Amino acid sequence: MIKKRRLGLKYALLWLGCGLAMLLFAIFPQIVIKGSALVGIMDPVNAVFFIFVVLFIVLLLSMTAVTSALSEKALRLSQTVALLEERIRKLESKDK
Amino acid sequence: MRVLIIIPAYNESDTILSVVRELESVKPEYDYVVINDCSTDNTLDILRENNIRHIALPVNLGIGGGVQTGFKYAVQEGYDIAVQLDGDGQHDPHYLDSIVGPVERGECDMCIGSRFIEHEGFQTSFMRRVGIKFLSALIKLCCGVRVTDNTSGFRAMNTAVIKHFTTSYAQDYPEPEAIISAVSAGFTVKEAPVVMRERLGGRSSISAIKSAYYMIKVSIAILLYSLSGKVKK
Repeated sequence: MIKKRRLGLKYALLWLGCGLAMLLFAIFPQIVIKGSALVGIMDPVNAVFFIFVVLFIVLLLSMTAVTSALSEKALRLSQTVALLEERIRKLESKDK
Repeated sequence: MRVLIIIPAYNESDTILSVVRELESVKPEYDYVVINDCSTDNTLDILRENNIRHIALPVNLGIGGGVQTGFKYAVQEGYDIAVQLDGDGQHDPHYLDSIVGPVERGECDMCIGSRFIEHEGFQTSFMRRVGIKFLSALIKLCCGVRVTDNTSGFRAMNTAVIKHFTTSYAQDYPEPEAIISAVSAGFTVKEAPVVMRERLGGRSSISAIKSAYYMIKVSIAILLYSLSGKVKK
């Protein structure tokens, strides 16, 4: 997907980070077990769930922020296009 | 003073021509521009055939984005006063003087046409009036300005306010938010009595479910404004 440029590198890195974290947990489960004991979570599996829920919320929030910024840009663009189109029409009718 | 009437129109093919013609006969000295918000009916064809000055948006932006385009146009063309007049025939151009006058004389920066001062003409549905009362109380609480008809789109404003709105304007249901935004920026907002008519055609953009969203969204927006401390008392 990155190769085909369907996924911007910026967001690809985000997902790659998630994948790496998951891989890390799979290879070294001790991290999770020790970590969860440290904060007092009984079952390490719950710690894994918790971490990923938080991660997904952050991802979703950033996606919403991205779409908001995009729609703001689309708004400005279409307004500019419309204003320019009106101006072209006016200029063309003057030339005739 | 050069006055521009901004007429936002979305699928108003039944009414737009009569609205424009009435405006031309009542106020020939005012310039106007119709903002066609990418209508799906033949509104654009009507505008083209009748040689009406219009701006055609390439995508549907909603009322906020549409009117904001009009503001940008007003700034670009150097108008002194901009007036919003709905394309569905609810706003009577005979009352343009009552809202343009106070702005022209410098009594206020923005003047809103209110149908609830004299209680004449079309008074809208009971539920909507309750909603408007609630918003009015909320606006009074947050910035100390009494606006009886805060959802009214029939409003005139001077260059400073127009410029303020070109940089930030709410995208959906912008009317009440615009009042707060203007007051927060230190502009004076006043109301003038007008008589509104029932729409000539088309449907209100606000349905039952949407009105709930309307109230919640606008309330939150107003509260956010007052929380962010932008309101100068």
